Amino acid sequence: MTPLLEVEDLVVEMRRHRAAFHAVDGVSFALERGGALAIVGESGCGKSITLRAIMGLLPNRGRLSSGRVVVDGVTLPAEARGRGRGHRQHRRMSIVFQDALSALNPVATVGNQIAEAPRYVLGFGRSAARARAIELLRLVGIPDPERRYHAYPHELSGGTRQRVMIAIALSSEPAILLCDEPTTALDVTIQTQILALLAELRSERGLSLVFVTHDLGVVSQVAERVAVMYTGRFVETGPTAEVLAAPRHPYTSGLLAAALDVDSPEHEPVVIPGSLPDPLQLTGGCSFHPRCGFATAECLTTDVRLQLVGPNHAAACLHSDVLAALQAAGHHG
Amino acid sequence: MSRATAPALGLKEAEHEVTRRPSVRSRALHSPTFMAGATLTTTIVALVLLAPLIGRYSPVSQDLLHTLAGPSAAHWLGTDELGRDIWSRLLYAGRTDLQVGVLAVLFPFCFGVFIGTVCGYFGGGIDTVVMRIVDIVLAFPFYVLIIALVFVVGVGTHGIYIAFGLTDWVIYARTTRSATLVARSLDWVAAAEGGGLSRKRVLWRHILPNTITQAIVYAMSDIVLVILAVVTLGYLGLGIQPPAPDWGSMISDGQNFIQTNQWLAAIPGMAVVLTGIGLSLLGDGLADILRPE
Repeated sequence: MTPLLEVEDLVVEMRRHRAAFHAVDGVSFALERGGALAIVGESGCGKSITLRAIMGLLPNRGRLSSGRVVVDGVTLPAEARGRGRGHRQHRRMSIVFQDALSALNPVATVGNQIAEAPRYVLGFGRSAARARAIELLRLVGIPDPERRYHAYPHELSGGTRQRVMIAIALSSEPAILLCDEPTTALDVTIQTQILALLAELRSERGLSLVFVTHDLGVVSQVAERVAVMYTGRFVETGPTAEVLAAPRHPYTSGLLAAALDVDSPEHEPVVIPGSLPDPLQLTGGCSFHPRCGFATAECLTTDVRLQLVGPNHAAACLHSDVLAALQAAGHHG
Repeated sequence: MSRATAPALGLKEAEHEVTRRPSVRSRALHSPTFMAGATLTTTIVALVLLAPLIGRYSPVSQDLLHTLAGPSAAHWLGTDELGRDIWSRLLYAGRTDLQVGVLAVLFPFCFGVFIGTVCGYFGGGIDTVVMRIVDIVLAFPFYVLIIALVFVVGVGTHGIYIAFGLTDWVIYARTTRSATLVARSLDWVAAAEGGGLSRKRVLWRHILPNTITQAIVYAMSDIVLVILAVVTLGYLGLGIQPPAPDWGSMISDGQNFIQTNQWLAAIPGMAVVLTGIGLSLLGDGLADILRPE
């Protein structure tokens, strides 16, 4: 069976002042119907741009310079804007943004915003679109939807806004939901509820998810597969449990070591030395080498690509076997 | 199917508490600025509209036996040098000036907002060209440009409309463009576009309602500016032509008697000031009330 979503060698070029750099540099992945992929990385690594590129909503200073996005066997045009009813395949996907307050129109009621796609894209009648919006509000777990229909975004709490955002995303009846850090702005209890809602949408409606986050703790709750991103590239991909338990890229193990562990408070988080490099200053070789404890002379010159290190598990590191040996010897990280 | 899912999520009711912001109407009623502006403006508009009923005299009928008379029961605000009733002239002049002010702002407002929205949203070549035209128009001193244009297209109301139509839209275009630029990069616009809505719909329903507030607020003070410009042109003899009354020409005529009959110039001057204050307060109040959360 062909995958529902295939992303092949996506390269996004961003302009900054006069210079240009690759914000996304050769990202590929495939997503099965009902599957979920989490993309993890630091701020600025290109994960949100990847989602926007897939969606065809790159900002003006960004350009898809190569690669393609295939949904259900159909290659999408690079730009989704302004197509109106015209483009069916883009509508197979919807996006949920991080900050639901800025992602909702402040001067329209939430009901009207949810009813808009059914009414003007799917061609529902006025009352059918309204009924659909109320049904969606109920589906995302908002009590008393008939009354909430007439609320403005600023009248709602953060969690409810995020639910409304998800309802809007679902209103065009997508098969794939692209989530751009949908829980980052929420407190932990609300975050758990939203993650539960997404899991439920997956199991009950067969929705596929691409979930972008910087929070490793969230990853295992939402996706079986994870891709770790650094300076526009996937540096490690694999089954979530395996990657989190036995990372094969020093960056992944660095991220894990830097995370706070509530269960073992005596474990001090270890900070990854250095900071994310300026994408304009990238030289050849592995972009992580300046911050990496395993770096050798070879790392400065070799353009490392993802290589299989196990079934379904790939890492872009020349020394992934050293890391594996260390883990086997019990020196985790 | 959808009904069954909601309880399973174990929601807390508290999360959905709604804090309702006061409605536009109650915010309006609680804004002293808006209420003062609205009251003053409504009073002036009402007086001016009722001119034929409360004016008592024709604004152009002369009574050469009673020239330059002071206030009396027959002539509440006295008469001018041709014996015309100043109260009546004031009202009829206000009719003309307000009408010209509103109409002269209407076209620049619509056109400027439209152009600004299109430029801000689509950008590219049109944007560059239009914004350079805006720069050129703005580079000229406003009054010099208006006076020159009125000279070219002809004195009188139609000259004023054309002059303002050609120049005044640039302010609306520029403010709307910058507001649109900001709105365009916001997530809800991306979400609407990603949801498959047409460009037209995104522009009309998602961007314009959020950007037009600034333009509406500016339009209020712009009406004041236009009335002042009309008054100035009237004073220079380029505005509304006699014998039709106009505050500007009333001030200019009254100036000849400034030492003996001050009220001839002072009364229409006061009318201009009060109208200006009323509209400015209205604009400020609207800015508070319409500002999105």
